[in-house]
Amino acid sequence: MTTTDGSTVFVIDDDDLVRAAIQGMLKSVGLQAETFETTQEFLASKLPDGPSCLFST
Amino acid sequence: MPRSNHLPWFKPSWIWRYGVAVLSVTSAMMLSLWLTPHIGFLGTLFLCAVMFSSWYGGVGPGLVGTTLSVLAFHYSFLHSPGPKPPELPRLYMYIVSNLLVGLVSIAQRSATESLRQTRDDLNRAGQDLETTNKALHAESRKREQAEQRFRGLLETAPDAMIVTNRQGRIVLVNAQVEKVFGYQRDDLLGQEVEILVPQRFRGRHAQHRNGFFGLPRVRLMGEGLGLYGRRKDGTEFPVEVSLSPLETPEGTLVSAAVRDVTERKQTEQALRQAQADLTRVNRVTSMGELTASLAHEINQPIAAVITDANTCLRWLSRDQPDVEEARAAASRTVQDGSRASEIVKRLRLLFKKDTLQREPVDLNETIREMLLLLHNEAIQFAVLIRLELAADLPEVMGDRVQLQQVLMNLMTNSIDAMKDVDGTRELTIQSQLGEDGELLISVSDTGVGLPPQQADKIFDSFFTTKTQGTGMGLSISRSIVESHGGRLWAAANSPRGANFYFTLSANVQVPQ
Repeated sequence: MTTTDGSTVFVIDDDDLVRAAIQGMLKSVGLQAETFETTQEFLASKLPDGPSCLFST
Repeated sequence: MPRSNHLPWFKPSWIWRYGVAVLSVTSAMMLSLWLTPHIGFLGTLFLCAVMFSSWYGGVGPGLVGTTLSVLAFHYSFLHSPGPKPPELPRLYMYIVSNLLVGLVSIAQRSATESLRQTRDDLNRAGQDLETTNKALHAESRKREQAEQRFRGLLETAPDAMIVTNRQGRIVLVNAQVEKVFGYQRDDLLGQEVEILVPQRFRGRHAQHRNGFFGLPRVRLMGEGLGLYGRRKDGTEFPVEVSLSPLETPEGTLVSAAVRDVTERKQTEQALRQAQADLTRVNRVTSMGELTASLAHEINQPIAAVITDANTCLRWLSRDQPDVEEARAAASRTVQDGSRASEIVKRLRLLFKKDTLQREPVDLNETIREMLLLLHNEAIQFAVLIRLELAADLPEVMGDRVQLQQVLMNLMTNSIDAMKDVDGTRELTIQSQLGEDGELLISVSDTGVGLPPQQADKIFDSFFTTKTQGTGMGLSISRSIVESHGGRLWAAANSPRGANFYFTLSANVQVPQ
């Protein structure tokens, strides 16, 4: 249960507590997460070329 | 009335009568003098003269005629040539026969005269009768016309018109009555007017009818009350009745104009229903929106609590527990919990006194408003509503909408509690002012009553005995009443059902 390829899970949620909780949960299962408050913020960020996962509530 | 011309039957003046007597006898004398030398003496001529004198002139002239005739007769005898018959007996006989003839003539004349008189009287009486008869005819025609006009008016009236006498018997109805009540005209005439009134109102109707004759004037019947008519088939319909007295030679009658107001009532009812629905929709919508947003607000931190607690457990249950990460997760859990608690605190603030809309509220009026909204439901489930409202109830300072909500909630509960109950279904709402200046409102029903052994739980959130209930109604009602500084409690009703009471402080201050 550790990160093997450095890929990232992107988490979008407007609630800071929820964002932190999800990020913490993903970390505990060995996944690296990046969080965004809004979709605009996410789209404005530099996205990786490789496969990744988007998590939004 | 002038007498018709009966000239020969007028008594002629005495000169004429005596003149005619003298003339008749003189003529007889002349004729006798002229004829006697040829055919002998003719006593008959003198008899004729006497007869005529008596007939024309009556007793006096008759006697004068007789006397003259006797003298003439005597003279003729004395001076006539030829043998003289024995004189005296003939003269006496002659006098007697003259008198008899005169009497008979007089009698005949007076008989004729009285016959004539009687005939005249009869004629006059006949004419009088005819005149009276004509006048009567004219009068009766006038009456007939008046009655026809009255009936015509009655028939063209848009309402059902019923005319009754003092005894409450129907004496006249128009065609609309047949249409509205379903009876034939002949079924109704002579019947008691109560036949058109539902059974349960008949006794009172008869009383009011007598009251009307005590002070007959044009007025609406039972103004403001819901009046009902009863058709032949027993169905009832709402009516409006206006009464007016009719003075007739047969005594005072009363005419009642009855209007079927079913349609109007339905329209009014539909309008009220629409308003009620709108109010409800508004309230439900705003309540729904509030609830949805509240649920989301509270759910977020709770979901975070669960996630963070799980994460914490996961860090701890590793082969080598990562205490640092576990602590971080645990402290996030604390933050989440605090957030949830914060939201609930904010919610409670919403119900705090100083955030409420305060205005003077007339609770009696509010009770009536809510009853209007529930009217249909009460009818649908055959619930009888009794209002016992104190007339001089002071206003309270409060949030009108919230107080409406409390009353609505209590009344709805009561009706719900009676839906499946056999027997009396009675909803009683009382308002009174206590000695301590507090208003006491009670909502009582004859429904299923409070749940046994759980009577104290009914005000708890989420406690419900209804399949469709949320368990929030009484809980919210109690917080509303308490936020107004009052109390809300329940007690069993005897012999069946429940009483709900709440108190509110009377508004003693002049509102700002």
